[in-house]
Amino acid sequence: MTAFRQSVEAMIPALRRYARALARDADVADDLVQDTLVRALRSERLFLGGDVRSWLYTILTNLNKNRRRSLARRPQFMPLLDNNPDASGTEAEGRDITRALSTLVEEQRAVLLLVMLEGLSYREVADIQGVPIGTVMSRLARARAHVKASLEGERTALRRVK
Amino acid sequence: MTDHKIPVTEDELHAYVDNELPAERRGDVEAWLSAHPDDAARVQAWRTMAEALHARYDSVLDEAVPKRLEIERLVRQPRQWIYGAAAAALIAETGALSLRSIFSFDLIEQRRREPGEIVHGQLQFVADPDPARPSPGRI
Repeated sequence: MTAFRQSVEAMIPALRRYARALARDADVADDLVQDTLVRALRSERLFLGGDVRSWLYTILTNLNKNRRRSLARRPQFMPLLDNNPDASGTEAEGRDITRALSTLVEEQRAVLLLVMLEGLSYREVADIQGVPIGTVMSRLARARAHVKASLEGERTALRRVK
Repeated sequence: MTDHKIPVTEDELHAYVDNELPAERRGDVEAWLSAHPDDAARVQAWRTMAEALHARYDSVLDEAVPKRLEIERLVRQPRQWIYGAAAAALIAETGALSLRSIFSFDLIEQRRREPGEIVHGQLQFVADPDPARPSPGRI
């Protein structure tokens, strides 16, 4: 296997994690990863070195943007509850963060996940989204404020019920 | 030497949490946080948020990679993908051709009618041998 393919392969688990958080549905997430890998492998000869990791995140982020754009033209049936939370963490906490993420607009969710979950730098995220660093920082600030409010809102709601 | 009186901005709080802050400013931010409990609580909430994200999604890293995502399999398959794309292009082109022929039939029917003449449901469709080429009688 070429060095290029090895570095693509090494990224598959992290791409799956990012896609899962981005798209929620596990099958849709793996579809995104598969499309990302197919595109990356097709462009193997065009890849002139550089950061494979950032490049893969860029492809996946753009594919998801296109997917959501085409979804937006159809009526959506969103499940009210995430019935399939991953095992780790307490289930309630996992559902809370998943639901909070789902209320973010697309660009903000991508920034939040790339920085907080995938550990990318502001510079890398700016290149991935094709925007200035200042835009990344304001998207991140808004996303954090929104998720924080959403999590706190749910906690208050729970407390009120008790 | 940084002036300790320069107020810490919200951007700097984010940069501090994300390890994007220049090392020489970290001490200032830490001093600021110990004097501003609201900001300290916000920073703590962001850290808790990051922990919740990892708690929720890190388990994906340990899952076995599905067969359909294996590199060897994907490298062997691009030909199928190309055939698929070729077939899709062919279908799209066929669709476009038949649409065009429907429209040209329509034009022919309208041109055959005299002004004021009413045609009652007797449309005769004559197969156009080459719908892509304009027939002599048409403008």
